[in-house]
Amino acid sequence: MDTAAAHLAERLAPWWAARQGRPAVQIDAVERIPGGASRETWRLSVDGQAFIVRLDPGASLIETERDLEFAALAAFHGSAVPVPEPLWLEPDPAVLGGPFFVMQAVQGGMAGPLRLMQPPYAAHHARMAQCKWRTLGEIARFDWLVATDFAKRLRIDAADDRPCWLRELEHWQQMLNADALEPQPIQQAAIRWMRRHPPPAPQRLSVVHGDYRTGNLLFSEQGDLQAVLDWEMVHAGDPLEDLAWGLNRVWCFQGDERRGGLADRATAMALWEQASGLRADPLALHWWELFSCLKGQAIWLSAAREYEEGRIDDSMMVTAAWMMINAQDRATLELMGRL
Amino acid sequence: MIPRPTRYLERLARQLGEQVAPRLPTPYEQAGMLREPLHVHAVRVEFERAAHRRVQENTAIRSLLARAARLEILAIGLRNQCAQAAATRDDDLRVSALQASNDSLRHMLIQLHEALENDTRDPEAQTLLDDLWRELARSTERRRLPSDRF
Repeated sequence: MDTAAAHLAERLAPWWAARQGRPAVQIDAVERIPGGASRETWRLSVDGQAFIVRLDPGASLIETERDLEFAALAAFHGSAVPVPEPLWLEPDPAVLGGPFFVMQAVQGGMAGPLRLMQPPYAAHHARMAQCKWRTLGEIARFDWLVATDFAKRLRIDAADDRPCWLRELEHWQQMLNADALEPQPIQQAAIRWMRRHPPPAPQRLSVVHGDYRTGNLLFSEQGDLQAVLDWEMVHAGDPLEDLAWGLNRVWCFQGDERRGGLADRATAMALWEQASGLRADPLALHWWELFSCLKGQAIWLSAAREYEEGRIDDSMMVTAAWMMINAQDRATLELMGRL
Repeated sequence: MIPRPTRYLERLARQLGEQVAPRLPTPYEQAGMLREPLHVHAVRVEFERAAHRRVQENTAIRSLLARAARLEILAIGLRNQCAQAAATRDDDLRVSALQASNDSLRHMLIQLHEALENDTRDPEAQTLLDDLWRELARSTERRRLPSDRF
C-alpha cells in the first residue's frame, strides 16, 4: 500500500468499526482507481470483501452534491438498472478530509472505454450496445417519484418555472462562459441557435443520469452490463438529454460511426425507443445533441482552467482539454451542418 | 536548438511510457504516467505549428473583418470596430503575442457572427456569413492532432 492508501485505511478503520458496532476492522488492499470527474474513487477490502469509497476531493472539476449520487444509487438498487449497492454516506469531512460514501464493489467488470474496444469485449459489442441503450431506456421510464428520498432531492425548485431545456442550457452556458480561457465562437453560435429553436416539451419528466456513456458502464467479459456508475450529475429532465449525450460524436472511440464505440446512431435510438416506450423525435433529439456538445465543451474547458490555474494537477485534465476541446467543436459544427 | 526539440520530445515520450510508467508503485499512478506520452506527442506537434496556425488564422479573420467593415447593412459602430481589428498586424511572432491577437480577433468575430445572423436577407452578408462558418471549420482542422479520432 502506498502512503496515501495507508493513510486512508488508518483513518477509515475506526469509522468503519463504529458503523458495524465492532471493536476494530482490518482494512487492506486499498487502491485508488479511476472513476468520475469530481470524486476520488478508492477500492479496498474489509474481511476479504471488496468495497468502493467515493470521496469528495478538495478541488473538483464539477461541483456536485455528494448525497444526491448516494440517493440515486439507493433508488435504483434492485431495479432493472444495475447499480452498486450503496451502504453508508458520511457527510462529515473530519473523517477523510471530505464527505464520502461507501458502496459494494462490483467484481470483475471493466469500464475503461479503450479496453472495452479490445478483445475479449470486442466480440460482444452488439450485446453491449443492447444492454447499454436498453438500460438507458429503463432509466427514462423509471418511476422516480416512488423513491421518496430521491424524489425530494431531485425535485425542481417550485419557484423555477423555466422549461428543463432552458434550465440546462443556462446552467452550462454560464459554466462555459465562466471557464473558457479563449473565445468560443463555435459554442456561442450553437447557444444562439439553441435559444432561437427551443425543443418541444419532454414526453415525460425523467431521471437523467447526466453522464451516460460507455466509460461509466461496467461490463463483464461476456458483454453483460454489470453496473451503471458515476451518478454525480443526476437530475430530473428530458430523457432525450441522456440519449443525446451517449450519441455525442466525441465518444466514437473507434474513429467510425459507432456511438460509444458500440453501435451506430440508428441502432442506439431504436434500442432506446423500444425500452423506454418513448420516441426519439428527430428535431428534439437534434436540439439535445447540440446541447450535449455545449455541455461537453463546458466540462473540457473547466478541466483546462482548473489545470491552468493550479487547482487540480491531475494530468487527466490535460488529456480532457487537449484531446476533447477541438473534437467537441468539430462535433458541434457537424450537427450544425457546417463541417 | 540541435538536436531538434521535436526529436527530444519523441524520445521523452518513449521513455515515459516504456521506462518510467512500469516502475511506478500503483496501477493508478502507472495509468496516469501512460497518458503522458500522448501529451508529449501533442506538445511535439504544437511546437512545430503553433506560430504558423495562429498567423494563418489571424490573417483569415482579419480578411473577414475587413469585408465586414465595407458592409453597409451593418451598424456603423460595428463596422468601425471591424475596420480597426482588421488593420492590426502580427509584428511580434512569439506564440503568446499571436495568441493574444487571436483572442482579440475571435472576440470581434463572435460579435460579427451574431450581427450577420440577424441580417441574412442581404446577399453580401449571407456570403460573408457562409465564409465565416467555413473559416470556423478550417480553424478546427488547423487545431487537430494526429491522435484525434474526430
